[in-house]
Amino acid sequence: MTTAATTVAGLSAIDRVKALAPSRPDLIDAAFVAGIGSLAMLAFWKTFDSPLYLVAGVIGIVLGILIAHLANVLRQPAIVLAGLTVVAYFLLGGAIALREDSLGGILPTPAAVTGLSQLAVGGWKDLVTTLPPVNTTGPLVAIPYLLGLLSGTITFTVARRVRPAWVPLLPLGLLTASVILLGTRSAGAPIPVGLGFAGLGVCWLVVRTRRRVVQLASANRNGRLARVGTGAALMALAAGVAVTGAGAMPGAGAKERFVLRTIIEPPFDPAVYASPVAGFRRFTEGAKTLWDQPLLTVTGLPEGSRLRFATLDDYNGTVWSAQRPTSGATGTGGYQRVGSLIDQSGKGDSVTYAVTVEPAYAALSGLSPWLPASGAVSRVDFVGDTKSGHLDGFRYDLAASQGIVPDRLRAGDKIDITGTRVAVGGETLQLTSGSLTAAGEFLAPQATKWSAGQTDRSAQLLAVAKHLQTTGAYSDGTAAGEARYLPGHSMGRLTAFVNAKQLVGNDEQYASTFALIANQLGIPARVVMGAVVPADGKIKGEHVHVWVEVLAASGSWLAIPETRFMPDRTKKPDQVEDDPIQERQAAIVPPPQVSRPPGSSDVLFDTDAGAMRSGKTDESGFVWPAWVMAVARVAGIPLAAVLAFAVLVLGAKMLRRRKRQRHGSATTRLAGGWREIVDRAIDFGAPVMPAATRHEQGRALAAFGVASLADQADRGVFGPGEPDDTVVQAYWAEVKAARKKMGKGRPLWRRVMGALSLRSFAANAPKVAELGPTVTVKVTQNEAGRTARTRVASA
Amino acid sequence: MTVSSEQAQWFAGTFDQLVRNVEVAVRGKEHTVRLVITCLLSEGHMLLEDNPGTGKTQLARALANTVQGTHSRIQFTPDLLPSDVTGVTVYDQARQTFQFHQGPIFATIVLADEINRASPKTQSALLEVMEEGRVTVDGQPHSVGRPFMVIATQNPIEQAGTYRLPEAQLDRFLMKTNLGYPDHEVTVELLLQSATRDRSANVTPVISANAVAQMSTMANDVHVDPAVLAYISHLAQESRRHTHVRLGLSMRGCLAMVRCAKTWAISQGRTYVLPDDIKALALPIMAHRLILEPEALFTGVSVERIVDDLLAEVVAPTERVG
Repeated sequence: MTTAATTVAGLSAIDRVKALAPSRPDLIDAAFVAGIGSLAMLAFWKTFDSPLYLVAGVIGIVLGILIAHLANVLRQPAIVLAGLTVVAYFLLGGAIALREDSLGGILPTPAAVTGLSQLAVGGWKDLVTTLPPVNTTGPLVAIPYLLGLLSGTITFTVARRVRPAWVPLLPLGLLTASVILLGTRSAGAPIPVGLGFAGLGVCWLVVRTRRRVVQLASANRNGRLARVGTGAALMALAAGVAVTGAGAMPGAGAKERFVLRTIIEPPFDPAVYASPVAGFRRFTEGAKTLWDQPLLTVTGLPEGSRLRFATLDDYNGTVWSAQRPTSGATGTGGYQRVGSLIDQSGKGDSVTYAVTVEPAYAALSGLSPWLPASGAVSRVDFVGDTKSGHLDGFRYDLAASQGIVPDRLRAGDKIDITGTRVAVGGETLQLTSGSLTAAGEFLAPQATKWSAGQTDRSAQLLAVAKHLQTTGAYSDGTAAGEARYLPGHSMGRLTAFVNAKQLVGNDEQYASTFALIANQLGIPARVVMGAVVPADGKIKGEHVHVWVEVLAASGSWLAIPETRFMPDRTKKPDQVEDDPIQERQAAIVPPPQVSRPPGSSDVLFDTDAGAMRSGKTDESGFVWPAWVMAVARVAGIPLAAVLAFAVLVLGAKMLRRRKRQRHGSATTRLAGGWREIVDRAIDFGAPVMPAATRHEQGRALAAFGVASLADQADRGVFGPGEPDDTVVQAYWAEVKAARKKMGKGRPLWRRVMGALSLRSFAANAPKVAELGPTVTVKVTQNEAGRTARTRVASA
Repeated sequence: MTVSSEQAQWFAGTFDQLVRNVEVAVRGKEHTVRLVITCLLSEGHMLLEDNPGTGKTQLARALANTVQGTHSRIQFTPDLLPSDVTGVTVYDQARQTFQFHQGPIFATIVLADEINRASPKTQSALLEVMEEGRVTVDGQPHSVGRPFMVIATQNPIEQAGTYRLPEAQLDRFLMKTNLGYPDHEVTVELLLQSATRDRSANVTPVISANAVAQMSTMANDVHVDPAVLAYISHLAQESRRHTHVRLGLSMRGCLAMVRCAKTWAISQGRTYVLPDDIKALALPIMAHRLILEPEALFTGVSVERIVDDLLAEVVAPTERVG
């Protein structure tokens, strides 16, 4: 041992570098790992929007191989290998996936480390819940990098440390399966991945197997012919089984294969956002709050274009809100994460326009999460400081043609959008049949009555619109004498609205009623809050309206402007007697209401859950210093993990020591005392000697000065009689002193590593050989009458 | 009753004295000498197998000379008859009775030189006396006395005209070991004293036969923990299960292990046996008792490797049983 240490220490710098050079088997195995790993990465082909992800994956694989090789050459244990892998992930991960957070785009910063930690934990779910193709310039490219790094490290380590030829194919198979599961429903490059894995895998198996085969000199031509013949027969058999059995394999007949994104639902729930329609009165003239306030500035859209703020396609009897993905009647996949590009092919001509968010819009908690856009968006670019945050969280519902920015738009945000414009329905509508909500049943009498005489659903719809427009009057409920006309569009309010002598309300009531009646007539209809773009592009409260959109037979949404189903705003209601009580209450503008999932009673009275969730106020009023929070964010998770590990290991060792000292007979405690010494030495790197006697262990650990302790324990354990307690206590006192002495003279880091080492736990694991009395031998006779003995271990 | 520490110290001192005395004739082979004396004090018999000229006979004669008692040497040849070993009954005309004339086996230390040259019939004549310490001639048992030890030698090289010892007889030898050639320094030293024809003649008795018997009795009282006995049992079981072994350690072999371990332990001043004692004695006690499979012999697997495997595989006890 000493000689070996001296030899290694005596190596010159050049020799040390030479010792790191890979051998021929190293290079061959590395080439196969890189080759098969890269082919496996091809299965992500349709998941990302450019081949840059492949570069990240290959970098990860190569880096993993280098780390594994270094650990192999330096004979480092698995824990060091794991540490190196983690360091490599954070060192290069920033440059690959979080360039904006990295110093100079390369060096990791605390923010990058935080981001990479979060990606390593939650990035997998983000990837499968993001609508492909995923942006390769975004953070999720860290996933192929991490997969490559892990598979490269593990596979190369296994290949160089494990003898059986087939074992290293397991981690690569796992990588391929992981990439497929994390990928898209339609296979990405299946032929190169499948054939490449099989072909290279077989070649690698052959290469690795032949390393262990000794070529016999007697191998002749006949032998070779027999091998070739047998090989060909096996290949033919395998091909036959593959051809006949392929149809029976799981997923063979399905057009779309099973991937994780089919079972993992996006956790995003748009219903948590307040319904902006409920607060429509704020935009009216009488409310005097937002009527003349600039909300958005739009450039690139012609005057009169309609700009959607929020599309609400679900009515729960209280408010109109966005549908949850699980209840999608239109086959929508719900709001999914997307990159800058959204596939909207075949949805009409695109226009490019820009929307600038004004402070008043950003201040509205009901509106700020919604992306203001005209029609279906095919490209969105956020400009400004908040770009990265917006793009990371941005979600889009393809069926609803509506985007949501979960971290909310801020004042000054500029959004460049390319997409179609809202299509406005004409005099006759080609509609599809269906219903988005059945909650409008209470309006069934009105639906029947107001569409009377018409048989065509399009005509029925237009008849209802005409009825609303001609018989109704407009009131915000803010003018003098109109306080009785309450805001809101709940079932009660709408029942009162339609049963009144005269229909009186504003956009909120008219659009809600019209949409519910449309659904009742079998026409999928939704409520959209938005604005009509003025000539100067500056959208103010006065331009905000609520209209209805119906689903056309073509699959696109057709807007039915509020001017088609609402009376003019100047048409005031007939004079009726005032109700002083209602008048007083009507002066209060209610906050927007939120659609609650059943059972969420926690926030029954919370009128703006979205705003509350983004709040950071501590109930106790105590505010942590910013630097503490920053440090906690950056180093919190790794530090907590390390701390938990340390506490766990130290605690386990302390319990083990206490048990050895206090439990069992006197001889057991004596033996435990010596075991404590041995474990300490093992943790400091001493070799594990499973079958060695205590005396032999004592001689092997003579450098620690503990040989006499071994002999003392032997005397107590194997000597006649039972040693008394004073002997045991004195022995343990010596053991503890020796343990301390063993650590002295070592560098602090060695002592810490020794204290946290798990080697002694592994060394104490039960071994088969220790099960001596319970091992039975199964004796069988073969055809030649030879006796074969097989060991059978039982508990 | 267990032996006291003082007795153990006396035993160890005497043992060392015997070793030093034998080493006057056999230089540089302390471990083998200790094994032979252990065998003597365990009341067993020793088989020395080595090439010619390695000092087997010298060792046997030195040991015989160390003990104050009778010793004899039987040179085994193919025409040696059993009665040449055990003795013969002769009619005494003067007294008109049959008189038993003791053979060379009636001695404290008997050197059976080149035992594998004798016929199986003669070899088997040794069986009873080695096991029971007595000879039966014409229905009359004759005890050989105590202490009694047979030191047999055999040559592994010459196979022509030899009769391989049967397994049953091998099992009766407590230990089998070899000497090997001396190292360079000892060789030079012996060459310098080439004028001395018989080095064992320089060995003088240092212990009486009675004292040897007392030491044997004392060694029997050494404490053996059940955990150590279980260790011996595990080794025996594993030897019987070993892939390359056709015949594993016998029960007689296990008993031999315990007897020797006791003597080995007390020879180091201990009143108790350690697993280390078992390990130290495993090869000389097990090697001649394990019969290997023919395949193992063809592939060059040696008994020594098998014993090493067993010792590495069976975990030595560190605690008492239960």
